[in-house]
Formats: sequence, C-alpha cells, structure tokens
Amino acid sequence: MLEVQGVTVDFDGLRAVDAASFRVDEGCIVGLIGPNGAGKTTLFNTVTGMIRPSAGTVRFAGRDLARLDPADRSRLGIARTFQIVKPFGGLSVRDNVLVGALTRGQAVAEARRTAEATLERLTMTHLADALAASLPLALRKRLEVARALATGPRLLLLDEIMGGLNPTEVNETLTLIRALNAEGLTFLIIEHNMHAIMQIAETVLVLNQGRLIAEGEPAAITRDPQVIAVYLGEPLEPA
Amino acid sequence: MGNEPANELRVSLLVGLPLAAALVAVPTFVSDVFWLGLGITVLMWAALATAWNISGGLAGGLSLGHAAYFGVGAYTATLLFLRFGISPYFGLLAGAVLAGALGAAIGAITLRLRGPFFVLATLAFGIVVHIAAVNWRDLTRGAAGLLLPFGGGARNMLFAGVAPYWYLGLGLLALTLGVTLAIRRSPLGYYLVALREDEDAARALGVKVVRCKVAASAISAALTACAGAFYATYIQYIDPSSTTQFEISVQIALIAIVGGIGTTFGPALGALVVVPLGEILRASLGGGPALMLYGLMLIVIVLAAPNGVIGLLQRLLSMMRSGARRRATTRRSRGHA
Repeated sequence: MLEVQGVTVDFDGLRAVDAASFRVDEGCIVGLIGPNGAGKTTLFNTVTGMIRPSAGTVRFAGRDLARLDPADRSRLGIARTFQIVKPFGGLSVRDNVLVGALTRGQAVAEARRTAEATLERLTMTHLADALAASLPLALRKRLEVARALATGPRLLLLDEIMGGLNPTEVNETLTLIRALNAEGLTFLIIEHNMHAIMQIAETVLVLNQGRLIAEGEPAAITRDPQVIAVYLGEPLEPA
Repeated sequence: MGNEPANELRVSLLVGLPLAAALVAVPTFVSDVFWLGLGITVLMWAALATAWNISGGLAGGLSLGHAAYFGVGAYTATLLFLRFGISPYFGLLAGAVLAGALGAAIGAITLRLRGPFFVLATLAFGIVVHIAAVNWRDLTRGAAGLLLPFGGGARNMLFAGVAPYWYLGLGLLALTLGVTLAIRRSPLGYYLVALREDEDAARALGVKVVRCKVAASAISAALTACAGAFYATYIQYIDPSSTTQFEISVQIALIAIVGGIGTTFGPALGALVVVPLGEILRASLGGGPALMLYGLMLIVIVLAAPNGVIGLLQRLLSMMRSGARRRATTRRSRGHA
C-alpha cells in the first residue's frame, strides 16, 4: 500500500534520512523504532508531504505522491498524528474532530455526527464541549488520533502517541489500534515504548542515523546484534 | 474566540431583530445632521471592520493594506458613473468584483508568507495602490480628486438628504455580518479557524490552506470595496487621502482589534466605540490635543479589554449571570432557615 523507495532528506548538508526503502502492506501494522534523532519523524514527514525528499519516491496505492501536498495526501487516505501535539486550542474538542470529517466532503451537520461518533469510540464524548487547549497531554494525544480518524484514513501514521501514558492508557491504546486494524486500517507507528510496539507490530523497521539498519518480526529484531548495539548494548525487552 | 455559529445565530436573532427594528427607525427620531452623519460613519466603519475581519480575524492574516480595496471600490463606482453614466449600484458590484479579483491575486502571492512578513507585504501593497491613485492623474485626477454631481438622483445612489445613506449603511453592515455568519457556519469557516490555530495540523487533516486563505481574502476585499462605493456616493467627493491613505488601513484593523478580532460581532462593536470617540473628541477639542487624547483612550481600552470590547461584554454578562445565581441561592437558603 505504501512504498518508500530510496528516500533521502538533506538539511543543509546534514543527511537526516539516507536512502530509506521499505513498504507497508495493506492491513499491516508496521513499527518504526530508533534512537532520538535517527530521522523517524523526518521519514514520516516525507510520507505526509510536509517535507519533500531530496531523492527517492513515495508511492501510495500505486500512485506517486511527489506532486501532492499534505492536504491532497490526507484526502487520498493518509492521516497522521503529531509527536508534538497540535490541537486547535481555541476550538472545542468536537470542532477539532469536525474539521477532519469536513475534508472528506461531508456537510457540517453530517461531519458533526462523524465527529461525535469518533469521540465516542475514543471514550471522549464527555469532553466534546471542552476547549482543546484545556486538555492534559494524554488527552491531547488522544485528540490527535480522533482528528486523524475522522478524516476516514486508509493508512494511519502514529508518531509516539504512547509517550507519557500510564500502563492502563497504553493498553487501551493497543486495544484500539488492534480493533481499527481488524476493520482494515493500516498502521505505521513510531514508538519509543518498546514493550508496546513489540506487542502490536507485525514488522519492525529500525532506523539509526538516517539509515534503515534492520527490518523484521519483533522477535528477530530484539535478537539482532546491530540493533542491540544501537540501543547501547542493552538487550531489548522480549515481546 | 470559540467557533459557535449555532449559538451565535440564536443570539443574533434574539438581540438582532429588535435591534435592527430600532436601527431602521433611527432617522425618524434623529433629524440632526451631525448625529445622523455620525451614525452613518459608524455604520460604514462597522461594515469595513467586519469585512476586514473575514481575512484578518477568521483567517488570521493581519492586513494593513485594506484601504487599497476601499479605494478600488470608491474609484470604480465613481469613474464608471462619471465616464460612462453607469449607475453606482452597478459600479458598486463592478468594484466588488474587481477588488475581489485583486484580493485573490494578492492573497495567492502574499498568503504563503507568515507572520510579520505577511503584514509587511499587505502594507506595501496598500502603499503601491495609494501611489497609483495619486500619480495616475489621467484616471484619478490625482490629489485634485473626483466630484460626483449633486442631486444625481436615487437611481444613481446620489441622494440629496442624509437619511437614505443611513439605510444604505445599515444594508451594508447587514451584508457584511450576514456573509460572516454564513462563512462561520460553512466548512470554509471551520477551515479558516483551524488554519489560524495551527496551519500544519490543518494541512495534515486535508485543509487546502492557500485556497481557503485566497477565498477569505477575495471575499473580504469585495465587501471592503462595497463600503468604498458607498463612501463615494455618500460624501460625493473622493481623493487618495480619503480613500487609499495608509491611515485608513490602520483604522480598519484597529477598530476590528479593539472590538474583538475573530468574533462575528466584535469588529462592528469596535466601530461603535472607536468612531464616536474620535469624532466627538475632534469636534470638541480639535486637531492635536484630540488626537493625543484619542490615542491615550485607545490604549486604555486595549488594556481594559485585551479580548476586545466584545470579550469585555461577555465577561460582564457572565459575571452578572453568576451574580444573579448567587443571589437566588442565598434567597432560597434563607427561606429554608
């Protein structure tokens, strides 16, 4: 469904991503891990169109995305959350989600119903009228997911939505991801919570200093000597 | 700054209908030309600030060049009438279309700029149009200005009395407010507020940012031009210093900011506060002292009401409401005792 081919990103002489190639098949959950500064979010940004790669191609559903801006890509079915959350602070939680539903071409009344159904799914109904700016961080992260879901995506890119969540909240999030995946939604997930990502991903990609150094099932990744070396020699938690 | 169009519609019907009836009746009771004239000036600036607010407030692109659109409206209506005898009613429409196209073009160029760079670009655009109005003498007669013939008749939007302009001004304000309400209830309104809050997030959700901003800029420019045509037929004389001058751009933005930027009714309320203040000070003190006092009072207003006059009103209203509730509770507990 998503094919990234030789994508390279240079920032003023600094190579943030170096010839990264990978694919995400329809219906899969793919994890993307790596130390801080490895280029994970930059790689995400080339998929959503916020950054244009200096070389390489990104294809989605067989289509080259090079000429499409982030809004076009969202309308094709690629949705994302932001690691540094970006709520529309002055809008209610409901209206935040409503904006996502409107871009699918729904009329305002219909989009409001979509927003409310999405909030219910994420157990946020009681917060619908609250200003987004008033939410604590954990709920702002959940709002990021709600907004992205309201666009009716086929591929959802999650950027560290589990950081700062307590174990119960992490489990709730994993349950939600599994349920959405069972309904056919494909996932590409950046996550620092190793325990969580190893539980849920079918395939894990490891990025280090802009290069993909390993790709495989979680169990194999945790045994990969290169990956262990990158994570400072500490053995990874078994899945 | 919340976006609650449904609620706003209810309030606007509850408060608006009786208010509109009272406003329509004003010329019946006020015959003094000074006060009626002041009222018409307030209506015009209220319409201008409301039109400005569509791009400056809803879309968050602070423009300091709106006098350009005001001038385009005024000159288009005046020149079409003077040169071709076309009624200013149609001239007003032509000016709106022209300014709308200009607003879209300028929008497409400048709206990719962010923050202060955008403000500077609009400022430069306004100055360019002003210089054109002063120097393109074959078209505008430059600083000499253009005079509309007295008594052109109702067919040509040129009335002998002042009262008809009250109604035209009222119509103009109703138009700008109506368009604002319609935008806020439409997808465009939600997109504009979303991209004002966070452009990257809006984009990621599929909002075509530039298209939305261009639309807001075009609508805002077209409505501003309508006010320009209205001004030309009301004063029946225009020159660059009364239409395209930089001070006019500042005044439009200032009124909207004082009233409550980004809200539906705030900018119009701003005109109700700022315009009489300026006019009355000028009439009573005149010249320099009036301007100084005017500036000081604006500072006081902005300090007292950082969210605009409408924000202050909302705070007072909610204080009164909670005060009434407290009194009611006290009464009840006394009754029980």
